[in-house]
Amino acid sequence: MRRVETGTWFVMPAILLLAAVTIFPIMDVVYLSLHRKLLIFGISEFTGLQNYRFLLQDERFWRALSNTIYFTGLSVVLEVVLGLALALLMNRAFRGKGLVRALVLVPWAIPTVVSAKMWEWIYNGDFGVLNYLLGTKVNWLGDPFWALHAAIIMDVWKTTPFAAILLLAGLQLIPADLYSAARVDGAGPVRLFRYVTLPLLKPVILIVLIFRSLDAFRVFDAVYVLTGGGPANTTETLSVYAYKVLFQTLQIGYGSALAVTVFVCVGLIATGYILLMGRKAGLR
Amino acid sequence: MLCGLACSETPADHEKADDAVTIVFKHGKIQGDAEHFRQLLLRFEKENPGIHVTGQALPSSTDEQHQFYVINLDAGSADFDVLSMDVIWVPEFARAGWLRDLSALLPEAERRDIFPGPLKAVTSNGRIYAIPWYIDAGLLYYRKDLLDGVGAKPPATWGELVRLAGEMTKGSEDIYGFIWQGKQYEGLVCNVLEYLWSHGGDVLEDGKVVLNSPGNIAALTLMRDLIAKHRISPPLVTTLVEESSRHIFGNGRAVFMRNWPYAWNIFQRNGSPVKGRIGVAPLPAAPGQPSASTLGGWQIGVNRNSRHPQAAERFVRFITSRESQKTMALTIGYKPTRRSLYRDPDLIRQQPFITGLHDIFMNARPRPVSPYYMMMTQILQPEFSAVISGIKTPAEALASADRQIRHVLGVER
Amino acid sequence: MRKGMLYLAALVVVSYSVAPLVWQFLTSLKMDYELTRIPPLLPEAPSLAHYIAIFKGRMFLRIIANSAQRGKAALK
Repeated sequence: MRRVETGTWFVMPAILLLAAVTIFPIMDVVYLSLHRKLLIFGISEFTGLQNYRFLLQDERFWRALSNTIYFTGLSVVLEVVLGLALALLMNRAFRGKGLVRALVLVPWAIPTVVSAKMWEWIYNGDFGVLNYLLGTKVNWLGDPFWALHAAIIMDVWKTTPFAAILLLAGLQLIPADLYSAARVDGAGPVRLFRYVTLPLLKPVILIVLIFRSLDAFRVFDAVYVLTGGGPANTTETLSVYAYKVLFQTLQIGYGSALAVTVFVCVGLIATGYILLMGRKAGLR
Repeated sequence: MLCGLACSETPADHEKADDAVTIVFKHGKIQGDAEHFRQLLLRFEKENPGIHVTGQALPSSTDEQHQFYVINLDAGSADFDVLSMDVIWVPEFARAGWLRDLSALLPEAERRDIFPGPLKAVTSNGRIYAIPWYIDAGLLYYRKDLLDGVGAKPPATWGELVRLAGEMTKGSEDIYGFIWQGKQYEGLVCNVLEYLWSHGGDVLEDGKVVLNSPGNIAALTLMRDLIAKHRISPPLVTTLVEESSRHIFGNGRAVFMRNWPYAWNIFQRNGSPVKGRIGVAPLPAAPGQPSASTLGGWQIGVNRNSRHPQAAERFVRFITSRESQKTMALTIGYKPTRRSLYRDPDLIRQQPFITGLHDIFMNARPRPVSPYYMMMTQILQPEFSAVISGIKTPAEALASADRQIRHVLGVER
Repeated sequence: MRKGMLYLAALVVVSYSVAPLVWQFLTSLKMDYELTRIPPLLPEAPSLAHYIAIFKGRMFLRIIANSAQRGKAALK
C-alpha cells in the first residue's frame, strides 16, 4: 500500500504537466466557444450556446462536415485495403524484400505540405504529368467532382505505407503452424486468407482504422495546400473551415465552437471503435 | 519560436552606440536581389545616426503574415515597430486600434500626389493609419505580335475581347484565348470585382450591401460564359493563381491574360519566349462603362505599442519617400504610389512601360474598405467560385452572398 | 512463373510509391522555362542550378541549423 502511494507521488508531476499541456488548452477552447469574441471590434461577451445554435443552421458547416466524412471514409477504406495488399506482398519471401519495404515507406516519410505541393504540380490541368500519362484533360483540382477525389488520392498515396507497415507487423505475429494445419485440412490460398489471416489480423486492422480515421478526420494541410477548400467549398473540410474562421476572419468564439465540434467528433469516432473492439474481445 | 523557420534578418553591420535606438521592420518577402533592399536600410541609418533598423522578413504567404500580425498585435507585442500591410488589412487593423495615427506624416500637398485608391484604403474616419508604399492593379496582358498580325487593337470592351480571343484560337489546341485567376482564394475576388465594377455593379455602396443587382448578374454571367459558352477560357482557370497563369502566358500559350504588373519584367527577361511580343492595356469594360482595376499593393504603418514611435515614424517617412520609392522602382521593380514619379526621366528611361501604368493606377479601386473585409471575402470566395464552376447561377450566388454579408455587417449591433 | 508474378507485383508497388518523387527529382533538374513544358518528363539540359542556389543562399544553412536545433530539443 505504502509503495503504491509513493509511486503515485512520483508520477504526480508528470500527470500535472500532462494536464497543463493537454487539458487546459482544451478547456480554454471550450470556454472561448461559449463567447461572442471578435478581436477586431474588441467584442467579448458570454453568449452560452449561441455559437452552437448558429452552427446547427450554418450550411457551410454541414457542407464541411459531409466533405470531412466522405474524405475520411473513402481514404481510410482505400488505405486499409491497399495497405493489406502491400503487407501481404511484403510478407512473402523473395530477394530484395528489404529494399521494397524501405522504398514503399518513402511517401510516408515526406512532410504532407511538401507532397501536397508536389501533387499540385502533378495535377496541374495544363502541364501536369498525370494528364499527360493518362492522355486525359481532366481539371483535377478545379472540377467540383474531381477536386475532393484528387485530395483523397494524394492522401491514400501518402498514408498507405503507414497502414501497410502496421499490418505487416500483425501478419508476422500469426504463427506459421496455423497455416500448415489449415493447409493439411485442404484450404486453398483464398480460404487461408478468409479463415486464418483475416480473423487473426482483425485487432491490428481495427487499430489501423482508429489511427487513420482520427488522422483523416482532422485533415488540414493536404487540402489547404492543394485547393484551399475550393472550388465552391467542395473540398473544404472541418479543420480548414475552422482555420479560416479562427485565423482569417478572426471570429474567435465561433471558430472555437467549430474546433470543439471537431474534437467531439474525433472523440466519438475513438469511442465507437473502442466499444467495437471491446465487444469483439468479449465475444472471443 | 513563433518566427520559426521562415524568418530572415537583414541586419546592418555596425557597432552599437549606447544611446542608439533599434527599430524592427517586419515586411513580406522582397522580390529580386535582397541586397538592394539592404542598401536602402543602410542609407537610412547613415542619414539618421542613432537609429538602427532591423528588417525581418515574414513567411511569404500573405495569409500567414496576416495571422502573425493579428496574434502579436492583439497580444500587445512591442517586438516590432514598423509593419508592412496588404491594402485590405489597414481598415481592420485601424479599427482594432493596433496602428498609430500617421495623419501628420502626410501633409495635404503630398496627399494630392498619391493615387486616390491607396489613399482611400489607408484612411479611416478621416485619419490616415498607414502610408502607401507601392501599388498594384489588375492589367490586361496581350500578345502584341498576334494582335498586330490581324491588325487589331487591344480590346476596349469585354465583347471585343471575346471576339478576338475566339478568332485567334479557332482550330488551335495549343493556345488559350484568355486566362485569369479563378481558384477559390483572395485573387478570385480581385478578378470578379473588376467585372462587377466594369458592369456598373459593386459590393457595398455607402456601407450598404448592393450585391444583388442586374449589373452584377451580367458580370458573373459573362465570367461563367467565358468558360462554358464562348470557350475562350479553359476550365482549368478555376485552379489558376497569379504564378500559374503567368507560366502559361509566359510560354506563349495564351492570347490574353489578366495579371498584376510584376509579370512584365519577367516576360522581358532574356530567354523568355514572349520577350518583346507582349503589350499591356487597361482591362475591358461593358459598353458605356469605365474600365476598372482592383487595387493591390502594400502600406507601411507603425505598431501602436512601439517603444520608439518617433524613430519608427522617421523610418516610415524615409521608406515611403519619393526618393526611396524611386530607388525601389529602379532596383526591385515595385511601382511607386506617388504620381509625380511617373514623370521621372530616370524611371521612364529604364522602364518605358511605367508611363502607361499611371492612368490604370488612377482607376484602381480598393476592395470594399471596411474592417469587415476579411469576413466578407470569406463569404464571396466560395460564392463566386460556385458561379464560375457552374454549380450556382449568378442570381443564386449573389442572393446568398448578399444575405450572408448583411448578417456579418450586423455583428456590431 | 509464380516468382515472376511476385516480382512484377513488387515492381508495380515500388513504382507507385516512388514515381512521383522521381518525377519531382527530374523536375528539380529543369530550368525555369522548362517547368511548364509538355511533355513534362525528362529535362532537356539537366542542370544543378537550383541546388547551387539553395546552398548559396544564407537562408538554407540557417534553416538546417534551426531544424537540427529542433531535433535536439525534441530528443532532450
